[in-house]
Amino acid sequence: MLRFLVRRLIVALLVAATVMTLAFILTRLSGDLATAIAGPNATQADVDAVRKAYGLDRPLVTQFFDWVGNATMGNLGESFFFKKRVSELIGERMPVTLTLGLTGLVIALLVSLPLGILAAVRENTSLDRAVQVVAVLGQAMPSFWLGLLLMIVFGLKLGWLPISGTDSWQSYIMPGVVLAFSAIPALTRLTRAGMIQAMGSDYIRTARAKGLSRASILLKHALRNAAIPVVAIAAVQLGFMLGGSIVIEQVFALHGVGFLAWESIAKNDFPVVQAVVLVLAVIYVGLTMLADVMNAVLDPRLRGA
Amino acid sequence: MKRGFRNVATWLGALIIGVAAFCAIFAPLLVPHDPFAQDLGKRLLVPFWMEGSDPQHVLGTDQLGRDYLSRLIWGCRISMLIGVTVSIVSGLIGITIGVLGGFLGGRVDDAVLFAITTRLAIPVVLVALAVVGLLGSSMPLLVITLGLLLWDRFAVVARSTTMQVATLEIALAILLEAALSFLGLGVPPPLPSWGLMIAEAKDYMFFSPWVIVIPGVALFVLVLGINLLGDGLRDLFGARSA
Amino acid sequence: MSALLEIETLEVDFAGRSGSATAAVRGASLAVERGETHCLVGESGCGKSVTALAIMNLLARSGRRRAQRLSFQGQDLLSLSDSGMAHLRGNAMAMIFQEPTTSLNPAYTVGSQMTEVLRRHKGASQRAATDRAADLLARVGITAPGLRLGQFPHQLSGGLRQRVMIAMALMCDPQLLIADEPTTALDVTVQAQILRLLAGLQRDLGLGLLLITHDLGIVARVATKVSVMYAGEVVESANTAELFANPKHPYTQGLLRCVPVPGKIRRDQPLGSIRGTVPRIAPGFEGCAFRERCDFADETCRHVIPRHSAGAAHEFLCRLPA
Repeated sequence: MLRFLVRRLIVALLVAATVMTLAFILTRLSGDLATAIAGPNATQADVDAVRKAYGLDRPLVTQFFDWVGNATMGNLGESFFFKKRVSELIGERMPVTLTLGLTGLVIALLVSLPLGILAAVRENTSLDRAVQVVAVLGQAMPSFWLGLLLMIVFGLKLGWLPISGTDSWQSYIMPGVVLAFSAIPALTRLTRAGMIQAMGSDYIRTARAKGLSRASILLKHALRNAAIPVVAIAAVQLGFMLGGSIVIEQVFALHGVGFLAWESIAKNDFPVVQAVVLVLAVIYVGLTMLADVMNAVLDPRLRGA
Repeated sequence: MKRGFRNVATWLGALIIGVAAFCAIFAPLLVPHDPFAQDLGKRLLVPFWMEGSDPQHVLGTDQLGRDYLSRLIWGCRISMLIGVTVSIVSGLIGITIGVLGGFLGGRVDDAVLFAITTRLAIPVVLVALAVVGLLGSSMPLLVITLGLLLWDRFAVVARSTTMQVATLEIALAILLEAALSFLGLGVPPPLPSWGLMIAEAKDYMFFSPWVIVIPGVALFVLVLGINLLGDGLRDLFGARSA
Repeated sequence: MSALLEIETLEVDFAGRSGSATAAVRGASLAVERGETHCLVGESGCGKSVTALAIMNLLARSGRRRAQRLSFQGQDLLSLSDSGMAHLRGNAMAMIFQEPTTSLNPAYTVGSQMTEVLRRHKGASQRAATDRAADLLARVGITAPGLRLGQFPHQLSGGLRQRVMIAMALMCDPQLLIADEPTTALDVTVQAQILRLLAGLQRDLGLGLLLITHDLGIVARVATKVSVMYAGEVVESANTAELFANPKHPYTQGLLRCVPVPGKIRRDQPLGSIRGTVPRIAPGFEGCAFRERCDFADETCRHVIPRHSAGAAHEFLCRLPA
């Protein structure tokens, strides 16, 4: 078990390193950064000054190792636009994105688990098919469009929820629902499949033979086993949600990391873009490791006892 | 029973795709107006089901007076084009990588798995945005970028060989393009990508909600159709190979 | 005094896909008394496991059961509600299954799976239930019961798991224990141990034991009474000694010829075999299901076969004279 975790950790570090490299390459794609930063009205002298100031006149390889070295120690550079350390910027915006992601995940689980269980228990009935239809619809839904629709209905017409900003916890409801929509189809399907398989297993037959209550059989015995892959996938889905938050944050004007990335791309603020890609990738890798750990925690057979 | 459901759903999907493909291919012949022609005297006309509509513009007009139905049909062409071309690009990349890994096994396979893991860690929308933001938006660039980002599912599946992933990829590509266009960094205006139409309409959505509802519904229905058809195909082929 | 378990003309159908139904049990009758071991024996597919599941109302969703009589301790089980039945299961009636590997929940400890039965039915405290569980584990021959209670099923061997299943079944002091091929999935040496354990427990606790098996050797060793099942019907039933000495039904005779039962065969007798295979029966089938494989069958075997008696408690379904 420990060996397994160590191996995963090594892979995680390698992935982070690769992403670091890719992020660096990404921001150097358009050729001359100095020209882009200096702007369209800059003279050649301005551009040269910019180049010197940001160390862009050094060889590419030097710049790369500088970036890697600094990033490993947590120094993600300085934002051209905000004139602040990038790590500070990200640190400021991260709580919003994390709150949004977790809200989305919680909503997704609150919807997927009961729906999946219901569909499994009523397998092949119209209820089951209705749940599957919901899953298919959810997968086809363009998230930004759903966000706008919700805004119109709940924000404008009904006036129940705020349509932008992060003033109160209600601000996270609509964006959370939209994020949840992206994860609900997969989680529901997984729960349903897992429950169907669990309910057909021998140990459930034993549980029935012991005269246990319906609720106990369903929730204590079956769900406990069916939920193992669901929990792991949920962690990974959170990773996707965090990565995809850029669209939602823009729609709902939430000033999180995604919004920051969006602004920075528009302003050619490369250090920020580079760093955000790296941070999100590292978080994702961390979540997949968490998923593995949870698998082991929840399934005694994997503990290698 | 379930098979019956699948049949209805699959046929529904096929129908939707058929209509979409027809619109995409014959768009120049089908559009009642030029989708790029502005008519500032006829801005934000309402669709036919609302009062005061203009029979010349069945689905109304947008904020620059362009006929909505024409833009919708043209946008279908764009979505379908994106879906197919991105899938081809990502499919080529992904299947090559996946087959290499599955076939050669050992270290090569490890490398393939590592590549897939890394690709999964990258926030796709963000990177696509960054690339387009840096290099300017154009159709070819968009297709290549998305193709380079979406190959993972093909690779995973090519390692273990099944078939229905193609439809998932197409759907995903279409949705991603719409999202990117919505954020302004996808297909360049004035091409009527449905995502772009929604973005342009966002400022008016509280007063004229149909401007975002119509293209959104179109997107949703198209992707739904692809999913349904894909599920149906999977049942067909998957069941046989089981 | 009524028998512990009484079954008369039990029928079980399974609805198949697109209309094809299977008659898994077509009129089984048997009775189990307190303190006796009744073996239900037959080839795989004859419906013996289905019979057990039907008694406990554990059939799959597509299964339907009917009977003229199905009663436990005089109480009619057919009209009993789901919750009423759940009250009996694991409590006064217990069942153990063939596959100990998959019959225990891998996510919970042995201890928690055992104590939950007692707590559910008798409202016992965790403490009391744990003590009882430890007692029973020792009873079934498991050393270091305290250690085992905290372990997970995958940490135990097949034989140990089956012992746990037996102990678990005994938690609430059942009167009837149904064992569906409890030794089939185990090693030969372990089989003997488990059998001895079951026989011993049955004796000491005065249980009624319905033991389902395909192994005549087991029948010879532990059974008080035997019911032979073929294609969904009980074709012969008798006390063990009587059955082995005086089999009346051609199927039973064929079975006994096939199996070398220690002490019951003669050296010069060749081991026989029954030609053909067990048929799958659709509802509405009439006559004797064995007729295709029977050396004595004729036209009259297509009609309803009467039940004959050949002495005290010895019955069989055949048109042939006794």
